[in-house]
Amino acid sequence: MSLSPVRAIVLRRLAAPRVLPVRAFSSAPFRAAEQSTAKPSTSPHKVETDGASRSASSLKDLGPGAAPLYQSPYAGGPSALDKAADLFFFTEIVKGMWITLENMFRPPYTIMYPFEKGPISPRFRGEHALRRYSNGEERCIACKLCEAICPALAITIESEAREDGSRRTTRYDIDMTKCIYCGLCQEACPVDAIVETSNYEYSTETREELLYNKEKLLANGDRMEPEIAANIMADHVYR
Amino acid sequence: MSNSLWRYVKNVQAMGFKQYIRAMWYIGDAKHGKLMGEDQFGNKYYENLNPEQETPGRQRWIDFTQHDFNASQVPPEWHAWLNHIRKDPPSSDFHLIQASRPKWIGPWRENLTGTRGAFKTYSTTKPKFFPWEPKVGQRGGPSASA
Amino acid sequence: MLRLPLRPLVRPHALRSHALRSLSTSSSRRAEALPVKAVMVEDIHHLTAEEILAEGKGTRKDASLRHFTVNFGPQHPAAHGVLRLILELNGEVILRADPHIGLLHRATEKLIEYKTYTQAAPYFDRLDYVSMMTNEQCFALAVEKLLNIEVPIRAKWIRTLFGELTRILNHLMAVLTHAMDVGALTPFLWGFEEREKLMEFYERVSGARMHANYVRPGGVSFDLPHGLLEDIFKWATQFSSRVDEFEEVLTANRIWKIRTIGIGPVTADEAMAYSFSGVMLRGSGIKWDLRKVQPYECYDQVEFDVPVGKNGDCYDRYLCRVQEMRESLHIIDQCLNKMPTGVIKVDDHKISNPPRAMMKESMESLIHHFKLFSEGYSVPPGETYSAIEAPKGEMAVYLVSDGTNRPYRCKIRAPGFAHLAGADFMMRDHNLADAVTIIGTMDLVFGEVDR
Repeated sequence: MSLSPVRAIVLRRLAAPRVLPVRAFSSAPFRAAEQSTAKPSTSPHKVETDGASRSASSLKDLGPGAAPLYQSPYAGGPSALDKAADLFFFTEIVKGMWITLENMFRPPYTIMYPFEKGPISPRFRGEHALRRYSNGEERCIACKLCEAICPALAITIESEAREDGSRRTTRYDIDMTKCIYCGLCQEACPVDAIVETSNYEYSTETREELLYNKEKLLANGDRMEPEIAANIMADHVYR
Repeated sequence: MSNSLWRYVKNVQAMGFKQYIRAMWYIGDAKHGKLMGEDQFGNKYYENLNPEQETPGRQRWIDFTQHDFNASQVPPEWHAWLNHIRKDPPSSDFHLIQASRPKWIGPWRENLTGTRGAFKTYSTTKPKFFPWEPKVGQRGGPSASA
Repeated sequence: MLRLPLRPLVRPHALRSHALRSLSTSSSRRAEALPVKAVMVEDIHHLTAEEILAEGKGTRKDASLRHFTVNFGPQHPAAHGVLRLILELNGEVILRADPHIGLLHRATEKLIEYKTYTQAAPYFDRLDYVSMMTNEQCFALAVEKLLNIEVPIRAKWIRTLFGELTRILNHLMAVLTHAMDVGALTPFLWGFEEREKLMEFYERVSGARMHANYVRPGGVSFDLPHGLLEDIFKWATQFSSRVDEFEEVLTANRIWKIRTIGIGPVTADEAMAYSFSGVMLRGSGIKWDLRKVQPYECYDQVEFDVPVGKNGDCYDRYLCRVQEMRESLHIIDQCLNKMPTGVIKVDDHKISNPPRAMMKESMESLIHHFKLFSEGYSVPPGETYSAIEAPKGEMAVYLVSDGTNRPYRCKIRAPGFAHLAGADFMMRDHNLADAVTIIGTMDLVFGEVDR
């Protein structure tokens, strides 16, 4: 695939002069073709700008508001033969269709979703889970930092002292319909209790199923602990 | 297409007819690769890292056991591998093995939405307000007689 | 292909400002009592019913109303979200376009007044939801200016790198949905392949494919993961040939040119009068790019050009956007080469949270951590207007602080809002089909227009 024809057109258009708007409503029957070839100079020309060089005068130079001088639209443009060839042989359409054809011969990029999955990283922020220590004790100590930082006010926590005197949550609700998955809760948590796992396949049929309570979050953590721990391990140097 | 057509033909040859029919039935593409392992549900995981044969992103795939397949049937260890988070499959992944298997780890369940097993939320706290239960006073008590 | 008969005979853009508009408003015209052929709706506003009826032969048929009012959107697929455009049509020619906004209004500005500075950052992702990190960057720069802090040099380079990746992300969407609205579906799908890769970079660096919450006041939230720069480099080497493909299909294509050349013209004066910015301004020939005129982050240390159009029509703006993608690629290359090592957040733990390892070992860090995530940090009183060159134009935050941990006022200047205000004058006297082209070239995203 060579690009030179397009580049050549752009360059040609660069070289061509600007025309009066009057040219635009010529009543020639081939107006469309005329537009595609004879209306020049719309390609961007590179201008190096900096604060100093931008001045009112340069604005006036460039602004189409300035009165344009009439110039023949044919001066410096492509030759009549070129235009006729472009017009009748559909050169640019053929070139475009050739690119399309080339793409048909490339291997498809489509990922067959439930069988193949797109790559994600250990940092991925998906469904929430509450973790436990390795002896089975839940990590969350009800410091309520996640409740405080949550921008969407999705987390509700209530706490009480347990029989053994340790402070634990009695209610840890996350309204997953409110959650915006910003990851601030897992950043805030001082004991790595609330985490966002890399599971994103938890869509539900009703909204009610997305009002997670503490038991659901702990169950999530219990099931996904190997993956969560591996992800934290993989990313711990960056945290 | 010439490239991908050739790949297709070679994959069909390598897979054998039975596998080919199964792959076309489910995945919709003839894919051939190395069997990396099998999880507790019997799902099979394949990999083909040859960039000539599989484009990046399509190098790992799963063959579900259930006919009624669902993306959430993948247990988390293999989920990490299938999503290209981990380089190695769980059988040879040191960190996943090291971290895994405290006693309290629960069995993996697929997403049960739309079934009777769907999650229903409930309050985990003691209720703070109790409904008023009217108690009928004794008729003809001391106040009534006075 | 030949659409000549559908066009108004006179290219009215040139004439409108002189002849016709003067008819519309001045009351002195009323004295002349000369009913003219009404070209626009305003032209008949000052006429009495008798005068209007006197037009033509005076028969009932001549007096019947030929204008037709239609709702364009909010369900129209080319309305780019929830734009409701009330079009007054004369046959197929648009007489007046009246954009209605507010269907995606979420009161972001008001919500931010009740959030700490840390909590406000995720709201910015959701403003212009195809260029997420530049919005965050805009807010972060405003807060940093009020705090009077300088972010570490590596954080600046990371922000520059991701700002340019975001620009490509946005322009791919802008150019190719524009093409799709006009009828070229195929390049759109190629563009989404590239967008997918870019969103994977987003995901690797921040953990979310779109709403990153990555750029924070005081730096960025995490360091780049190992190997990301190499992958960005690999992507960048192949991306320019993808741009070539889009161009090969579109730039010279006669259908594309007929649909865009001369459509939606904006003169330099009009562009400035309507406070256009970004490509909408540069397409009209004004050399104005905030990355050049008031460089922020590391834009003074990279070399790039600013493409400027000449005619101010849709085709010029398309060419500018494509060229900007190439320039962004050039900047990305320089970022990859110049990326320094070092820290990615300011070292002041009263502003940015300490690393987790430190938080778990030192009591003082733990206290900082708790203070930051509960109360947040207080910003000295003051106000700032800090603008960046977002992919769509000048995105800015006017932030007023009263010395507490929450902004007193946060006004967001969204480029799309100003561009939409120009919809009326750009669409007049165009065909209905051109309305789609003009909406596409304005690059509207309703997250930021409605806020």
